[in-house]
Amino acid sequence: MNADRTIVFARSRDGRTTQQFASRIRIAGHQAVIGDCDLDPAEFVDSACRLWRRWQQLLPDDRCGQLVSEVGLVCDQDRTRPYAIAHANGAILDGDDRYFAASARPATVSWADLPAEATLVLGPSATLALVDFVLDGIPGVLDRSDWPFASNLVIEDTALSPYPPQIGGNSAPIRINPEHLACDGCDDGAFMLLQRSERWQRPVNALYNVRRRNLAISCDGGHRRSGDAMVVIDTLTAETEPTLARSRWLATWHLDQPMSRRWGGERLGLAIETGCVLQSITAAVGAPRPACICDPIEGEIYGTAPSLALARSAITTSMVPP
Amino acid sequence: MPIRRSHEIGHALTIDLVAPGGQPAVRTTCFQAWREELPSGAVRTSTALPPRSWSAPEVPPPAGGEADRACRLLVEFAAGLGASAALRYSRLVSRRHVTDAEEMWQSREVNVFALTGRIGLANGRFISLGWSGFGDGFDRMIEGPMRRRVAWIARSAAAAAPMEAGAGPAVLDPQSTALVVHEAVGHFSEAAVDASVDLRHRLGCRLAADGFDVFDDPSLPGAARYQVDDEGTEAIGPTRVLADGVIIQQLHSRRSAAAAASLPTANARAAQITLPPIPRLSNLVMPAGTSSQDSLLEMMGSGLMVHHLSHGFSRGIEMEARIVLAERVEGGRLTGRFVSGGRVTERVDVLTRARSRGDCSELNPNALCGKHGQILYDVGTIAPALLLSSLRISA
Repeated sequence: MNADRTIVFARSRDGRTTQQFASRIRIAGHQAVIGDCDLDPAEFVDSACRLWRRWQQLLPDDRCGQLVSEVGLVCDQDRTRPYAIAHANGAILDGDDRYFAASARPATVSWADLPAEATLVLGPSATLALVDFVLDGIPGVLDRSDWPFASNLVIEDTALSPYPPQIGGNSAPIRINPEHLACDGCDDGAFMLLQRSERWQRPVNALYNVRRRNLAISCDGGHRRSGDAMVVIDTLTAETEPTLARSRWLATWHLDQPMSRRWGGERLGLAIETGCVLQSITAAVGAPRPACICDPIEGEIYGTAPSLALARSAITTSMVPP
Repeated sequence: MPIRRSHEIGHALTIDLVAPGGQPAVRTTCFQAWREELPSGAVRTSTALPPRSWSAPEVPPPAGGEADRACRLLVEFAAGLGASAALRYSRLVSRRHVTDAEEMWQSREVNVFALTGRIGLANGRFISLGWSGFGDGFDRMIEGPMRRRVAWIARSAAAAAPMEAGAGPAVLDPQSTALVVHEAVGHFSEAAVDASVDLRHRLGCRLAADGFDVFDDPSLPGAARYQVDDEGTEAIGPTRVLADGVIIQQLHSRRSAAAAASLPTANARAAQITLPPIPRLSNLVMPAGTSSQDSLLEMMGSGLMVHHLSHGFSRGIEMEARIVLAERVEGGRLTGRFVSGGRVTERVDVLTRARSRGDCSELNPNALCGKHGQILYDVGTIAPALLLSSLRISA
């Protein structure tokens, strides 16, 4: 694959200042040259700060520290794509802002005040984080009966990414199952060279699962909303190394009701029976959407994942002091 | 006037190999980039030569890697394992330059490798491989004690019984000690990435028994080798982190040091030029003691000899690691009864239960360290074997 791609963007974490990035990568086969970029990302500074401030008005104060906005442009030889993205610790914030009340300060709800009938749901980023963690925790070749995922949960290893600067790669997706945990058979050089626009010195998945690309997760059987009230885990941050044993997580969440959404008033500590929590998924409650894991080691990992309903008994919760 | 300017020129080599049967897939990346931090807090980064107005040193890119030799050695290494494996060899050679508003340009070389991936065992399980450090790493990949040790661990782990949860005395071999010291002492002694987070309350905390000192030193022939860190602070000698088991000094960047009313310790490190330098370890050193490994086993009597740990992880006051291979000890003798699986789950003061140190320190071949989205291949740890009165293990 040959490519000549320029990426420029401005990224803000506080609505005032930005990180401005401009990069050009030229690929010929398995060789890349990064340099000679002559575009200036300054034109995106105001847009990035505006996007940050728009979401700041809709997020509670204690989540604004996690808010990241990015506005930029990806120029390939044959087309130019502008893009804008905002996320809070990996939870992609998109067109849903109409549901959050734009009052003086966003309304929050305490975990203790949740409706008893509220369905527990993993949002896209939480689903992606948990599936990625479970895959990394698989200790070896498994029998089908020990596979830690429901049979209708489709997990694909793909060269695609919902993050525009990363879209690249030229080999087909591969379904991950007990027989194929990674795409060992493919040599996707373009994926490896195009996935890390800011971190070209370290290949994606630099550590142990070196053949893993991005994850595209879906659920056979369509999707439907589950009940009037859903408590949606937006993000999951692992507090342990990948394992199929019980694992500890930090979570952010919101309450989703038909005509309104309210942010969770506190972070949650979760204990999850990792090896079995995703074995009993029956259906998705939302279509696959862009998702991101803010991994403390690898950095940002993008993919797509649906929202999944869980039994409330599948997790144990505790409050995390502010 | 900018707070700091930096630029880098170099190349990266990556070779993937699936064995047996696969062909090496070679990728090369040549790069140049600059970064500028402005007083407003803005950061500008571009992959280009630095602007002429910077008067930056003009240097040619460092010499290219030996891709053909690396391919050959990787194939030989995989064949020598006697097991299936998905491996990646990475090599990075570059030259970094940094200056701030007050000082001249400082330069340093980056010359590191990593050999990572997963090895399939005869029992269907996997173990991970994580070697890294200074230079090309070729000396480790050729037939020799290091390659034989990996093959031995793979064979032994394949025949091992499952580890049971519990707590009991243990002897850690130097690699296992290094991982525990890195997670328990090293990360706990780093200043926070966000300089506004004050961790000075950690000073004075006891992390190890009396008589245990730990240093950080980038000038040693360890995994990290630099005279100036990525902010341009000169390394003037070892930083004593732990004295008599108590934290007496944190590892700082300039920003974290200023916030803590302390001095920088030349520990500001960035995985690459586009990323911010943050407080990181360089080479962490626990000096050797006086006991041979046999006498450590004698002192323990019955317990566990931990041969190999992986996937070290720490957060706050807790740390953990996977047990890849351990061996039952009875009557002060190794029994040949191997166990594997389970996790060491401890607090960062686990070394307060250290009873004695081995008489020989070794450089941990795994110098990989990921933090805040930045993976460094050259975070060294030099440590001896260690006798612990108790080690807590989860299934």
